[in-house]
Amino acid sequence: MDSEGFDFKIDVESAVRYLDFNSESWEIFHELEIKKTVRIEKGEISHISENIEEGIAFRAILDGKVGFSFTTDEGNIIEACEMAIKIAKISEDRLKGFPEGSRSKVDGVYFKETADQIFGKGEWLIDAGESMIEIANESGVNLADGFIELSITKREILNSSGAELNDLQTSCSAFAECVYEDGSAYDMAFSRNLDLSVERIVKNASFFSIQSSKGGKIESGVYDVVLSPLAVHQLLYFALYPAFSFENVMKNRSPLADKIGERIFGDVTIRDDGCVNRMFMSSEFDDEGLATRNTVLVEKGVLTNYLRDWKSSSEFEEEPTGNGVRYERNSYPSIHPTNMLIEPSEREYEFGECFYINSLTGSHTSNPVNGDFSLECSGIIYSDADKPIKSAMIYGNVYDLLNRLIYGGKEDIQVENTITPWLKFKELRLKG
Amino acid sequence: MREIKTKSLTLTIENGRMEKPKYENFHGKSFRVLKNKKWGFFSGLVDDKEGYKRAETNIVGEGDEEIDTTSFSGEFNFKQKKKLESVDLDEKINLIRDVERSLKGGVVVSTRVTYIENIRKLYYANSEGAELRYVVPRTGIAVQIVGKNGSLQFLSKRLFKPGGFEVTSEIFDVIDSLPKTLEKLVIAHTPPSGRMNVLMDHALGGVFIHEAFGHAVEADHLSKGASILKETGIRVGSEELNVFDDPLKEEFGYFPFDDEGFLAERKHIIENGVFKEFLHSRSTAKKFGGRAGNSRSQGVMEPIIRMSNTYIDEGDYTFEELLEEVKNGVYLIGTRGGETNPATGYFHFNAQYGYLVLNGEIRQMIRDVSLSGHTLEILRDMKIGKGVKFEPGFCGKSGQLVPVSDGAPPTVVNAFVGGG
Repeated sequence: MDSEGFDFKIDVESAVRYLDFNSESWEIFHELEIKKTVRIEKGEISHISENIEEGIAFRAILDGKVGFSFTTDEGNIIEACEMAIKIAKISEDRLKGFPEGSRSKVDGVYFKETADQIFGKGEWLIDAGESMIEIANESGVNLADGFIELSITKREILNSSGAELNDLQTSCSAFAECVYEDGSAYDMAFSRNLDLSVERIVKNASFFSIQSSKGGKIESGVYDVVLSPLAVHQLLYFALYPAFSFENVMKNRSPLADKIGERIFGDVTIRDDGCVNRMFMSSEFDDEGLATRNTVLVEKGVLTNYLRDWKSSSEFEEEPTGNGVRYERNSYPSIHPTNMLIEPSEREYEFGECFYINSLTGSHTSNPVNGDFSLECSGIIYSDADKPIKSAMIYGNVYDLLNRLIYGGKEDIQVENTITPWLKFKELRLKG
Repeated sequence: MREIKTKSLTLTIENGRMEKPKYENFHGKSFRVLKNKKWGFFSGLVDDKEGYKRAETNIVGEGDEEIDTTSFSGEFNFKQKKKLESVDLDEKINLIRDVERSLKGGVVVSTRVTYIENIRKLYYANSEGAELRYVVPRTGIAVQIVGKNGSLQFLSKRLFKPGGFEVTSEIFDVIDSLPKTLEKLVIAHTPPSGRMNVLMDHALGGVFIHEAFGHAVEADHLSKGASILKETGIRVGSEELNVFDDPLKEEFGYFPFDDEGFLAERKHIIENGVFKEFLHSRSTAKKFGGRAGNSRSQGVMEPIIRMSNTYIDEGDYTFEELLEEVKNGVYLIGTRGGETNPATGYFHFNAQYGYLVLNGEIRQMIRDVSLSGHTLEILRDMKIGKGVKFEPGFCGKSGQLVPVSDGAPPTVVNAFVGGG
């Protein structure tokens, strides 16, 4: 197979006919993905792993209520349609049909060079993997675990409102965990193309693994702290982003309910922009066939908007924001951020005297309904390499934390959904 | 070669409404080839010949990989006392409606009750002639309630086990105290912070042994040079500390054989305080000397070394004696999950709530409380109570989720407490 021949194997025509006849409204989400991953273990390339999956998710509406089914098996297409309808009969999940489909203009979500590596022998993958190993070796650390993953995805969305959308996307991601004596640190990189900064992540992970191996104890107290883009993402993804979901707002699961127009934290702007060219989570339309857009959520500390999918926007007659995302292809679309841009009002080249934290452990245990967190810091040093610290805990509330933001660095880095510079906060509580 | 077929049903009642009900039918195959002492892997729904060929093309160079080739054949079907297919949809819905009704009232502002059933059929074959098949059903109910009275707080509970609809019969006992606890939790105090004595309930103790110690026991971390545990035979705890990983126990992490076709066995990880064995794949078992049988995968992804039902066996302390051991500290209950770095031994996890303990007595409730520390330091002085109970969950590693359960009796440790 090559990029020209990359196409669905499963024909959905019979499903369209069945659903047309047996439901009020329907939607077919059809996705084919190939992933090619080079795996690195203890400074050696272990192997390449390749995965192909084609899956179809059906949503069918009966009496204004929606049912869902998913299959990967061509032989079960009609059975899956029947199940979507059977499920719709017991559902109380109301949905006003499906959107007619719209798309924004976004460049740089598909790169032929990436696709060619997936369909070819993957020489670039092996070369890039070897360069990761070389950088780690030069630093004298063990690249204990690492991978570079390339993927190509074809999406097609059809529905009874006439939407017929399809696209092609490529993505690249890399992970590196370095171990030096009893110190360990990791980092990751994300891109749409082969310009993935593997060098940056291995150097960063090497540096923090070496520093953490010789770390001392920290005196519990209040300190100025700089969080890396990785740590910012780990914290905000679990403690803050769920609060912007309009579904969580309507279901009393967000502390941001009824706070539009209010100042919720310091002088920072946060926006969700699904149509920035070349960004990792950009696309022309979301997983329900709605155009992505730029949504300013917080403008200089003031809450201005929430994120909505088709269901929450149609139910409350609000404008959709193109955030209907299928976290996995076998799941209902739900409200999820695309590219969250964290924009501090001030930026500086230097951070001065303070603690630097590379990553946080256990961030998924943060409390999304009130923003409280209490996390173990991994990779922590005081003002560069002067005083590395073995371990420390950081704790507080994410809204209070963003009140304490002083300024950010000059370079924005993408970590999954988050695009942020390193951020400096004043007077955070660290515990030894 | 593995061929996997799963059928699953998820029903969720959220604030009185059946939301996002879902049916899934998955069919996939995966192929691994070992040649020139290197692996190649491919997964996709293709015919076997193409699958092997594509796996072979993913081999990079030559290596030194050797495996334990012991092979098994057979067929295992986990018995359902009340077959999932014989229970109609309405009965399943009525049950979770009843569960939801029992949770309402007081400070509760939001409820979510989810019913899951999943039947996994696995066929495994290899070039040594092995042929294995199993059918394992898993069923359960998960509950989450959110309360508001000053602060917003949530509590959750799960009952997931292998088996048919009979699994759900214990659900009302499992969630009985949840609304009353939430009423206290929304007005609970912030926790103290610092190093102190901590009484962990069975759920938190289970997460501790899974997260803080269990992951370091997975021999792939040893193989990568990224585990704090370098060898067996070392003392890690007191004489009374015994830890097992037992895939044959009929808890959520049950499997009759692993995703490398190796027969499941109970592993005695810590015996009377001495670390006895790592958990192995066919490859690490050969490399380090040990028993394979702990390779698992989500769907048709690559099998990696995982735990199953991991637990601390019971000791001699009564609950009252444990409180006396704490003297002044905290009693922490339930878990919101956790994470560990097996390379350094530092772990972190959050309790659902807790209580202050003063002079050996349980006092006011505390909220948003977390626990962290260094595994080996904390295990060393663990005091172990009586009566092991298990909690089910999904464990994530390398982007794969697999069903597991963690168990423990009440235990006392000295660790860092934070939060608030």
